[in-house]
Amino acid sequence: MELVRDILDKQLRGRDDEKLGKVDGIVLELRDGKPPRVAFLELGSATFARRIGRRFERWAVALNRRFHMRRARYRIDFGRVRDYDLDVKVDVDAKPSPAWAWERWMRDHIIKRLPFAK
Amino acid sequence: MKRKDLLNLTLGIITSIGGFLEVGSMATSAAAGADFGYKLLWVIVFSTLCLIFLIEMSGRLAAVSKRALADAVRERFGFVFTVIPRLLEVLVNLLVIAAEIGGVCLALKIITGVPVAVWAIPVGLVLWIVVWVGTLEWIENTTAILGLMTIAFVIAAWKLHPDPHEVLRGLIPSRSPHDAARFWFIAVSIAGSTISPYMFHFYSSGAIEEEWDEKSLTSNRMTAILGMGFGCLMSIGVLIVSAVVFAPKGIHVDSYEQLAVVLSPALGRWGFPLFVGSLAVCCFGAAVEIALATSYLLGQTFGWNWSENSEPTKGARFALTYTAVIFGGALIMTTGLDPLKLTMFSMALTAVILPTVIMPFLLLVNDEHYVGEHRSGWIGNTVVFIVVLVASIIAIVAIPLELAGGS
Repeated sequence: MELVRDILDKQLRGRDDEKLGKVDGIVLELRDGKPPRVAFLELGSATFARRIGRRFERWAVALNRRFHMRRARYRIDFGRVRDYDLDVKVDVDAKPSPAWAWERWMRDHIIKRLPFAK
Repeated sequence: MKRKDLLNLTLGIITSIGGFLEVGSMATSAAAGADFGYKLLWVIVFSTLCLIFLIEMSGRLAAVSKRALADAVRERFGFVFTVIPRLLEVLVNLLVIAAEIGGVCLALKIITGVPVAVWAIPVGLVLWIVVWVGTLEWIENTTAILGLMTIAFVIAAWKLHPDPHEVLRGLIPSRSPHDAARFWFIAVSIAGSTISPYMFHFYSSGAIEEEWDEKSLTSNRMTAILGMGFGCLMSIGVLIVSAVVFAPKGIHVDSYEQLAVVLSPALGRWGFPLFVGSLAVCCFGAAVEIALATSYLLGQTFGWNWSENSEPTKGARFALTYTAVIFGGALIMTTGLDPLKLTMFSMALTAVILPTVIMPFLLLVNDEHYVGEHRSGWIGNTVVFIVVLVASIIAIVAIPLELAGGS
């Protein structure tokens, strides 16, 4: 497995096959005397904003706080990765996860209030 | 090929023909014909050739790699590289959808006399309702079949008996007979209106939604060649009609209202309703595609659920994006901006950003990791590379000159 080619920026799918987001970052754990270990996949606006610059990361965190989102980034234990062929599939329920916080907020506060939204 | 496949293929081709002409191609071809006769015909042909290759490539990329364009670009080139091209695309899409909404409003203005700015929000609302409740297939087929009305331009061109030698001569690349800045500005606007990035997102996302696979490659190729090829005839029709009707009288097309009579010499009393109908339907169809394409490209860049075929509550961010784009575009038109100038400008701007969208795309369709053995041939690669690069460079030079010229 090559982390950047096979994992980073790929589509993430949850247990229910729903789209979770993209793999915005990969968190490595440094260990004394041992090679580093891939600990988490990270996703969320703060993570991808950080890749452009620290200032954007701060803006993303502030924006999330403004809308009362608990977390601007979300980590998935690397042990939950089931498959990474076409998409990265993880053993996580997408819908209740923090990755869907904005989706839920927009659905409940805006979309559901519009006519014919079902 | 089974009967059902053949039917789908035919429908695909008809959809492409009907969907080819939109406010951009109409305005740029008409301006070209009025100002320079047949001299810019070759630009339509070269741009269409490039478009055929690109549409085939975006369908092939989706069918083989199972990824839509924006998905594959983010995966292959990473987030940082993706941000600027996608941001530029969203901005250009906003201008182009404003121009398309402006086109529908103009058609209504021509009939009712009520100004464009007043129509903008109601038109935006109808557009939004169509995207909100419609399914992809229904939207595509309806607007495209109504879009076949644009054949009127080809019939009119035929009935006006243009000089065949002059028409053929127009197919050979030539320099400007006068006013070089204007000539090249219109040339790149034609390229920008023909090679629209939103079409590739729309087409490749549609291929994923319809679950294409390697068996779809033949029909993909035929749709690209026949659909875009015949579609190009509509643009040529507009240019010829405009060249015959306006050029000898020295009329420059300064507004869409002038264009309203363009079909009348050839088609008599049918000319006016057919022009107004074509303008409204084409612009409406293109606006739908742009709104959805913007949702697709953001959805694929950020990994949201994206599907036009599911209910808005199942893809809230997807639905909210097209809602914002539609009403953003409508708001731009309420400012009273001249729709024709906006169209010409946004088409030239499209040409400027083309390399940022097309070059990564070109690398992807040559990457074995994505398309396996179905890599692009050298002819397609060369044509696309040269046309896109040249169009962009000319656009960068021509836009300031056109703005300085005070068109």
